[in-house]
This record gives sequence, structure tokens and C-alpha cells, in this order.
Amino acid sequence: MKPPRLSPEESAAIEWLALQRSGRMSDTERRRFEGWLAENERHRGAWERLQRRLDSAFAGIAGQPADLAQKTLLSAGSSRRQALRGALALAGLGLGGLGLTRPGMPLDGLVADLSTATGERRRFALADGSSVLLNAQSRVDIDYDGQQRRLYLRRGALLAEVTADARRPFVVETPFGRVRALGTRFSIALGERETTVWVQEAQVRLESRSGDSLVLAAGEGARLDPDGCQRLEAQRRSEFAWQDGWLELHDRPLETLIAALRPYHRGHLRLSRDAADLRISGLFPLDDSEQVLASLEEILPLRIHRYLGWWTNIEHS
Amino acid sequence: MTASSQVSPALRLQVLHRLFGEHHGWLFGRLRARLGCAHDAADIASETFTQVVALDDPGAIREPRALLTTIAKRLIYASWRRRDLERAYLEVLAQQPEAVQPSPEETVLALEALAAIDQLLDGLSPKARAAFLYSQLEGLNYTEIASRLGVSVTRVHQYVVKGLTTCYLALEAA
Repeated sequence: MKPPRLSPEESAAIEWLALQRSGRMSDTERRRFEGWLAENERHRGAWERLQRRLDSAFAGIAGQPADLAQKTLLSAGSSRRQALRGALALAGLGLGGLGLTRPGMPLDGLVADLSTATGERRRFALADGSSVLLNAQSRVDIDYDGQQRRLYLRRGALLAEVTADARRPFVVETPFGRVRALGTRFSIALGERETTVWVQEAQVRLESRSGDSLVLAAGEGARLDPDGCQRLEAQRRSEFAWQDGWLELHDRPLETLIAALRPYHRGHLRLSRDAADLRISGLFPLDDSEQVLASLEEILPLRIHRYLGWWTNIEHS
Repeated sequence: MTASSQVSPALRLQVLHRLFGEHHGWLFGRLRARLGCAHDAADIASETFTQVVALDDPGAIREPRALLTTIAKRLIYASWRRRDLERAYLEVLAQQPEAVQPSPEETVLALEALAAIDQLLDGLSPKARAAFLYSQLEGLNYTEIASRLGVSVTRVHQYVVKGLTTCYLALEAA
């Protein structure tokens, strides 16, 4: 398919319009423009088409407050968009990599995906008898074969109960590092800047992307991030115990609560910068995000506004 | 490309039915897993097949799953753009004084109009986009735009030409 091209008069029309808009069109240039217009029908046609198309394209936002449309279009077009493109490639369909375009690939082959919706926690049984409990809004790819049992945590968190298999190590991969089960029960959560692991039973070995490694025992937790492996205080374990639907916080920033609540809340939760730093403690039911938000307004200096039924804005009052 | 007049309507329908039967379930499943939402997955899957139906000769498709993937990816990207726009709109709105809040209906129409423009500007670099919008929406002259963006006036002129060209050509297809 040939790429669309401008005719010479269309090109010229655009140059003239650009010149007019510059705010520096001289009288000579103005006269030259009028001469060009008068010269023939094609020139006038091109000029008129250009005006008409632009007018119709922008007519739709004519009724809006002047800076609203402009700010929106500029904000949406910023470098965040580029990052989004990258994210789509990373987390995207990538079906070629899974070999699904190979003829004869069965639908439920050895590679499969597990996922949960907003507010949904769900347990999945795996082929070897192990099971994973997925937190809300989570996604895991499973890759079992003769040599290994590998999971890829793409989003959210999971709690794994691993059956022993001497021949096949059980490993969970994340962008920040991998977790190798040396025992039976542990949870792993993928955040924006780190992966967090807590061990319920026996042991796991953490391996960060930078080559750092750490063995964790029952009751211990650690963070995997670009700097390596960092142990976490035992007290923070309750922050990651989402499996029962409760979040227990001890003097943590509000941001932590809202981040844990997002997979359970329908709609967008926006937290302002200064509200995010407010400290909070307590026991919060993840399955009832509305109640949590209502109680927050009572115990913290916050203003919570709802728009359009799905956008909630939390601000410091 | 085979002209559709060479393929009988009955055969065409048969091909489409088979494509749907063999691949819709698969596509829906993959999308549901990747998007984490059955509702979105259903929307994208059905929109993908709508586009396949519009093709001249669906029988000539050699790798249906590869084609479906490509179309679906494009649709997902477009829907991310719309959500990005919506988020930006609501954020800007939240900063406006209370008196200016539009009604839900106005918001829906506004977002549609903004999405259409956003689509037109696809492909412009962030600076070109900004320069074009400053000229088109705010009516700034190039000296002012040059100062805002930290570029030369000549560059601003080039950006505006690029913006006008991109819009004009995109509108031609419509």
C-alpha cells in the first residue's frame, strides 16, 4: 500500500497556513499568498479543503474550556505514552515467543496463563499437585516440563504451596529476580519497583537480577530490587498477608494501603502526593474497599471525591 | 489481493465461520489471560473479528492467529491510548474550579472528540505535538512557542507543518 502523499498544491497550502500562524508574515508574503490563491482553481480547492478539514477536526472540542482540551492532549501525549508502548511490548501478547503460531500447538499445552479479576482471590491447582492462590488482579504464566517447574509472575501476588519433587526445582520468576522454593509455602508480590517475598514454611532462595542471593526461613521476608536482596522487618509481614482478605498496617504511609486496595476496587483510585505520606495503622478488610475508604475519611484529614462513578480522588484536606 | 467479487458470498461466509469457530475461543482466552478482564477481552476479540470480516479475501489468510494477534494488539494499544487520555482529562478536570465541572454526558462527548484528535496526532513527536497544539488551540505565535519549547522559530515552523500534514492526511482517510 502506497503511503498517502500530498499534492503540490496541498503542500503549498500547508506551508502558507503555517506561515500565517507564525505571527511573522510580512506584507509582501501576504500579497504573494493572495496571488497564489488567485492563480488557479486547484490552489483554492487545496486551501479550502485544508481549512475545512481542520475546522471539522477541532470543532468537537470547541465547546470545552480553553485549556482543558489542550492540557489533556498534551498530558496524554507525553513521554508516559512512550513508556506505555514499552510496557505493552513487555507485558503484551508476545504470542510468538510462546510458540503458539507453530502448527499443531495444543490449546492447553504445557504453557498456560492464570489470572484473576478485580476483587477476586482464587486458588489454582497445578499439574504436580502444587497450588497457587492468586491475589486480585494478578497474572501468572506456568511453564512446566520434564526438568523444571517455572512460574512467571506478571502482575499482582501469589501464595504458593509446593509439593516436593527432587527432580524438578520450583521457581518463580519476576522482573526483579527469582525465587527458588527449597520448601513448601511462600508468598510473592510484584510491585512497581520491587518483588517482595515472605516465607510461611521451610525455606526459599532469592536471586536478584544483579546476582545477589539470600536464603529466607519461615517467618522471614525480603525485597528484591535493582540493588539486590534486602531483608524486611518481621513486623511488616502482616502487610503482605492478603490471602485472608485483611491488611494489617503498623504506622505505614497511606500509599501502602491504597496500593493494596487497588486490585480490590472497581475504578480508578487517585492519591495525592501529600495524602500519600500520611501515616496509618489498623486492620483493613480488602474485600470491602468502600468501607475502608469511608473509614479513612473518619480517621485521617482527607477529602475523598468521587466522579463519574469510577474515579475516586483522595486528597489531604 | 483478490477482488471480493471473485469470491462467492457463500464461500466467504463459510470461511468466516470457520475462522471464527477455530480461533475466537483461543483469542478470547489469550486476551482474558493477558488483560485480566473478561469484559475487555470479549470487546477486543469481537472488534478483531469485525475487522477480519471487513477484509477483501479472508480465505487468503495464511496465518490466522498471527493476523488476529496483530489486529488485537493494535486495538489494545488504541484502547490504552483512550484510557490514558481519559485519565489525563480527569486529572486536569480535578484541578479546575468546581464551577467548571461538566456533566457526564458532556464528558463522554468531550472524550470522544479528544480521542479523535489524539488519533490524528499519532506519530508526532512530543515536541511537534506540543508546538502544533499551542498554535492550533492557544493561538500562540512561533516566537512564543519557541520560547516555551526551547527550540528555534524555524523548528517551530517545521513542527507546525508536520502537525498540519499529519492531521490533513489522517483526515483524508476518513
